[in-house]
Amino acid sequence: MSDGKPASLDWIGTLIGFDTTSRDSNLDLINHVKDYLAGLGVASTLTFDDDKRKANLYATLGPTDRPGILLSGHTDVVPVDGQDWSSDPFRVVAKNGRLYGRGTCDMKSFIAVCLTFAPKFLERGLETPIHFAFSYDEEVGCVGVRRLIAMVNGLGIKPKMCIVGEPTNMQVTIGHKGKHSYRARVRGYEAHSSLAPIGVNAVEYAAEAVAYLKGMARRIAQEGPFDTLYDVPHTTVHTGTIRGGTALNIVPKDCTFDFEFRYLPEIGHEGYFSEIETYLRETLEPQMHALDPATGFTIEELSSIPGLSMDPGEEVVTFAKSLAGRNDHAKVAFGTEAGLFQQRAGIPTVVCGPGSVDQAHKPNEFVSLEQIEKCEQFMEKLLDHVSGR
Amino acid sequence: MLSSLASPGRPLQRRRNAVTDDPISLPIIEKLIGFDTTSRESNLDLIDYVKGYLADLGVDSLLVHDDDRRKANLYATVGPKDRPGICLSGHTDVVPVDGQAWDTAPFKAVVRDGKIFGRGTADMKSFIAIALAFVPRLLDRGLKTPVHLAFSYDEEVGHLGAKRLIEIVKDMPVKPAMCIVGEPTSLGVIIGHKGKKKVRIHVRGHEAHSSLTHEGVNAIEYAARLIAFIQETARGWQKDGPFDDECDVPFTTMQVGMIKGGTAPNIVPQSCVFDMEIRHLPNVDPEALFDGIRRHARDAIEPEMKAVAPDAGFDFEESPSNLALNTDPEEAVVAFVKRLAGQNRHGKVGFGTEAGLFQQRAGIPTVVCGPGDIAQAHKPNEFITLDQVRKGEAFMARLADYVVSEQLAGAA
Repeated sequence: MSDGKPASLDWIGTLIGFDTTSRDSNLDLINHVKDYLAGLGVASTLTFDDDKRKANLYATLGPTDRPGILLSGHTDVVPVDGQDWSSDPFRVVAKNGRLYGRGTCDMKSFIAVCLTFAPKFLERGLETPIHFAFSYDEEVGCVGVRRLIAMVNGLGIKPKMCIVGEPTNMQVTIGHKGKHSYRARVRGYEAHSSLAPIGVNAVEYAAEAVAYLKGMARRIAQEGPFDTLYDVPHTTVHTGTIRGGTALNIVPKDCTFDFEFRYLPEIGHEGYFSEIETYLRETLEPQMHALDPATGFTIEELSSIPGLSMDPGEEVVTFAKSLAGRNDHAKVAFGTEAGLFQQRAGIPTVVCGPGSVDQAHKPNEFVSLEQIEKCEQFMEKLLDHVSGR
Repeated sequence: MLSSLASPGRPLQRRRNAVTDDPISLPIIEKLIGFDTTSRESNLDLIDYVKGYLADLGVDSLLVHDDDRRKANLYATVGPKDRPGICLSGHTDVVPVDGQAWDTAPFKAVVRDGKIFGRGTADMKSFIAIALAFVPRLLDRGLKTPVHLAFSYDEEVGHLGAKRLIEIVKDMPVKPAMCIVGEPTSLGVIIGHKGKKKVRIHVRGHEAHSSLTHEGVNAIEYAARLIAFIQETARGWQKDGPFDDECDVPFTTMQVGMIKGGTAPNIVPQSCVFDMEIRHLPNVDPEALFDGIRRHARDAIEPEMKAVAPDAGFDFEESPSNLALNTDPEEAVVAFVKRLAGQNRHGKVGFGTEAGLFQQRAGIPTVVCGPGDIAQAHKPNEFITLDQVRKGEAFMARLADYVVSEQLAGAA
C-alpha cells in the first residue's frame, strides 16, 4: 500500500462497474479478466451456460503439474430492483472508510484482491500453484459453479484445497447451512366472488400454507436442534415471493409462492419438508377437495445447495487460520459454493473473505477499507507460503 | 298510477321470426357479442353501433364519456320526452377472458345445443340486445309511456360509467319513474343485493438476506397472517350470521383476490400487496366490518413487525364502495316487474349491480331482472339459453304492451 489506500481499489472499481445482475450476461466482466490474465501469460478456461450468455473462468498461476490452492468467488450480484440507493449502485463511492456499490461486499472485492495479487504471485515465482475459479449465477442457485466443478473433476490435477471468499469479516468459516428451495403452485376453483363460499380460493390457501411455514420457523427457533457455532443457530424457513389471483371479483384459481429452508448440514431438511407436505396433504387439501377434487398443491424443487461441514482439524482450516492471523473459526447461515466444492469436487474448503453479510443484498451495500486491508494481508501471507518463502 | 296492472293480462303477443324459430333479438345479440368490450378496452365501437341503430329509428342518444374519451355511457329516450318513463339499464363492458380455456372464440356468438356461447351472453349483452330489438316495435305502435335506455361502461371495475351517467340523470327535469337493471337473474325479480367494499392492502416489511430472517420483517408472512384472519372472520359470518335469508348467499362474504409480493427467493420480502373485498348484506354497514380488519392489523399484528423495524406495517387503500340495493317490496316497481316477468315472488342476490346507484343516488325505484344465469358469469364458455332469451323477449313484449297503452302519472 503506497499511499495508505489498499492496492485493490482499482480492481474493485472496475469490477463493480460491470452490471452483472444474475439475470444479465457476465461476459463483459469475464472477458476483461481473461484478457488481463492473458496479458500476464496466464491462460483461462471458460465454461459456458447453454445460451452462451454467461461463463465461469478457471485459471492456474504457476506450475500446472501439481495441485494448488484454489481461490473462488462468484461474479454475479443480486438485483437492485425496488431498492432505495443513495448513489449509483454500479459505480463505487468511497466515503467514511467504506466502499459503496452493489457487489462490494458480496463479493467482487475478494475477486479484486485476487486479481491485484496475480502479478505479485507470478513475479515472486510459485512453488505451489494458485488457481482462480470465478463463477456465474451463484445468487440464483449456484448454477454456474456446477459446470465449473464438472470440468475440474475431469482435470488430471485438481486443487488440493479451496478458499471461497464470501464475506465473513475475514473469519475462517468451516461450516455453512445447506439451502433447499421450492415452488408451490396452488390450484383453486374459480367462481364469481359473490359466490365465494362455493369456490376454492387459491390465494387464501396459499396464505394458510405460508402461515404454517412461519409457525414451523418459530418453533424451530425456540426448540432447535441448535448448533451454537452458527450465528443463526438453527434451521430457518421463509417465503420469498408470492403471486396469485386476477380480478378481485373472481375467486382466485392460481397462486404460486416460493419458499426455502436453510438447514444445519448435519440434520438435513427432509424431515421439515415432509412436515409441510403432510400439512398440505392431510389438513388443507381435504378442505379444498370437499369443494372441488381438482384443487390442491403441487410442489416443485427449485434449487438445492449442499451445506459445508469441515472438521476444525483439517489442513485447510489450520492453513487458512494462519493466513488470517487468528485462531477462531465460525459457521454461517448463508449458503456458498464451498459446500459444492467439498461434496461434489471432494476438495477440502473453507470460506473466508472481506466484508459482512449484514450488508449483502441490501441497498447501499458496502465493504470497509479496513476489511480490504485485512484481505490483502491474508493474500500477502498466502503469497509468502506459495512462493516458498 | 299503475292501477291498470290489476286488470287481467293481455294475451301475450309472441313474435316469431318469419323464417326460422330463432329469437328475434338473436342477430343483435350476435352483433354485440362480437365487440370485445373487456372493461380495460374502449367500448366506443359498440356504443357507435347502438347510437347508429337508434338514430336510424329516429331516436337521439346522449353520450357521457370518461376523462380520456375512450369509453362512453349511452342514454336514449324512446317515445315522449315530456313525461317520466321506465328505464332499462345495463352495462356494455365484460370481464377479461385472460387465462381461461374457452372451447370457442369468446367474442363470436356460437349457437349450439339450445345455448348461445360467448363472453357477455349472460352478463349482460343479451338484455341490451333484447331491449334494442323491441325499439322498432315500440315506435310502430306508439308509446304513451317512454322507455329510457341507459347503457354504461366499466360496471365490472367499479360502476365507473354509471356513476357519471347518474350524476346527469338525477338532475334531469324529466327523469325515469322507475328502473329495471337487466343483470342475469333468470328473470327472477330481485329487490335487494349486497353492497361491495374493496380495499388494497400494502404490507411494508424490512429487507434482509434470507439467511438472517430474524433481522427482517417478512411482508409476505405478515400478509398471510392478516389473510388468515380475514378468512377466519368470513367463516365466522358464514356460520354465525347475521343472516338475510332472502339473499341467495344469505350472509356477508369476504375474500382476498390478488396477491403479489417479494422479489428474489433469497431476500426477505420488503413488500406485499393484496386486494380484498367485502360483499355485505344490504342492511349492514361495511365500514364497521372493515374497521374490524384494520384494527386487528394495527393492534394484533403490527406491534410485532415494528419491534423489528419501526417503519414496518400496513397501509390500507380503500376504494369507493358499490352501494347495496334495498327496495321495499311494497314499491310499485316491484309489483310491475313481477307482472312483466310472470312471477309472484321476489328475492335478493349476492352480486352487485348498478341498481343501488339508481336507487340511492338518483332516487329512482329500481329492481334487477334479466335473462340468463349468474352462474355462467365471469367463467369460460359463458352462455345464455335460448329459452332464457325467449323469456326475456316475452318480458319485453309485456312491457311493450303496457307502454303503448298506459301512461304513468307523475314521477313515482
